[in-house]
Amino acid sequence: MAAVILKVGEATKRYGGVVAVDNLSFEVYQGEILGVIGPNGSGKSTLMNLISGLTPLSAGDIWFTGISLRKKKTHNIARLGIARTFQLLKPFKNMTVGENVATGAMFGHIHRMGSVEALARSEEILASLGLSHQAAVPVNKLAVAEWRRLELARALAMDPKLLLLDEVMAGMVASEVQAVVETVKRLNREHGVTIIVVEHIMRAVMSMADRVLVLDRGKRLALGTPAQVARDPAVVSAYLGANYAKSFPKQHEVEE
Amino acid sequence: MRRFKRYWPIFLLAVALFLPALVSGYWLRVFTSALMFAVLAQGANIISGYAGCPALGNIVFFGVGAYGAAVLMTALKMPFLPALLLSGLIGMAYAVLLGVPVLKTRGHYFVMATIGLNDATHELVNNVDFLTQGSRGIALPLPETGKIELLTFFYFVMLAILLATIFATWLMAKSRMGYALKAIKSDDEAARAVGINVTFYRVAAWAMSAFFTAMAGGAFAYWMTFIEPHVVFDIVMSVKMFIMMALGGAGTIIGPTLGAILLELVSETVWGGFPQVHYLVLGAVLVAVVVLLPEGMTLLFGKGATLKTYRQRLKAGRL
Repeated sequence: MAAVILKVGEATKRYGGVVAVDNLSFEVYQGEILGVIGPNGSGKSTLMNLISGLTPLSAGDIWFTGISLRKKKTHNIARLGIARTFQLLKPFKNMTVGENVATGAMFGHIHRMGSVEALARSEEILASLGLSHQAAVPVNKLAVAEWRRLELARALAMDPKLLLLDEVMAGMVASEVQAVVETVKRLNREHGVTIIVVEHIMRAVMSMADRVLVLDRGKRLALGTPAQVARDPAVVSAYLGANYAKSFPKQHEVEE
Repeated sequence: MRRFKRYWPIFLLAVALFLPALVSGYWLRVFTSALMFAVLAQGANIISGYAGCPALGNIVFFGVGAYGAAVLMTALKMPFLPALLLSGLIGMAYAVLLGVPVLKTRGHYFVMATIGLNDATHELVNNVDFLTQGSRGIALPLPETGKIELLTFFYFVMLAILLATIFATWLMAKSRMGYALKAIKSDDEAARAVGINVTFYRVAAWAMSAFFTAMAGGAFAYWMTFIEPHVVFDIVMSVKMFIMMALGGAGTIIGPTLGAILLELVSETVWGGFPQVHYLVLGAVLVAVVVLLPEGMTLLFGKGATLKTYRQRLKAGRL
């Protein structure tokens, strides 16, 4: 088994009386794609925020390459090699596409680089994603669907060891989903990036993840290969409701 | 026209350099004051236009710089130029010291905190009598040259500070710091997530803003030869410099300078004769700018400025 890159140990996040993430433990192995699924409010986004340090832990700890993240600031966590996208998109709207990506390279990369070097790197990244033609376009001129791809490009410019994708496929049509799945797989294969994908689109997660973590009300419901998880009765009943179990594939498409 | 667009900064600079040969007395004083406000508007621009922190109490650094220079030149008998530079550094140190707690507040709280900071510093200066001579004000040593040369001297001092401010802003905007500030202004969570140390860059921006604002204060003190706390910690001056920044274009390199010079000249010529309604007009200008021209004047001369875009903007209810 490959080395553990991220270890979540009894992580808990409380908001007053609400427990968003409840005593959660799991490990992520170097080079794998881990899918995270669960119904709304199951703690997926909170988990992403805990790993990237935007939300402080109430209890427990998270270790990245053996380093405790509990007391680390978000920007220091980013520089350790953890990049992310946001479910509610947050591109830098006062910049061009190229400048957005360059900002990722400038501050998130392990090697400190100046603005000129970062802009050159931004061109490479955009080329690899087939977005070169948009480099000089101001972000506020882009369609919102293109913001998702931009967030991915900005995260990649940081050359991360671990990439957190928070619902990058939300609102995409099937062909776009397919393209993102291919991109994610290619990144993982070619650059050895470990990836955690949070998704609503179950089929997309199942087709790309090596293992899937299922959350329910902040707790770990199941963790295993996509096939194991899909057959797990607890998962089916929690995620879709027992009544929908039989019609799972169809229902899923209606939902999207 | 295109050639003019490319060379207009050089043209403006030439006009600025030869101005003392063309005008004198009253008008030279007006232009010196316009240059001083341009520095203040640029200072506001660095912390507000670039970093997105509307430090409405930014005039505090003007007062700190003015009193810094005054105390250095009276108590320590320091010559003007070193005192001027030191007054800038004192303002900068003040911003670093207070920036760490104050810049942790957000939105309206931050605006209030900076106004409070200005009031508190004002009171402090009123009460540190042995250094500042309190609310009685403090007299600086009189410069020794003749009257006309003196006006010219202060004109060039302000011009030099302004050029240094613009140059520093230009360098900053294309450096790592410029990118960091734009990112923070757009979304500070996303900025953190790409590895930007948000607190560090906010404090750095305020320190830079304070340095130039305080130098303007130091120059102002020696120019006036007498300063009082309520004059140099006047929140109305702060409001004015923010209007100038917004008028010219927040987050642009040259905009605040243009806004300051335009507003100062218009205020001297047009409504200078109506002191009672001066602030009313100033307020109306602010409302008009925010509603009609939220991106500032520079947009009217920028790359996309064509008749067609003007028409589109007018239809959308903006200039």
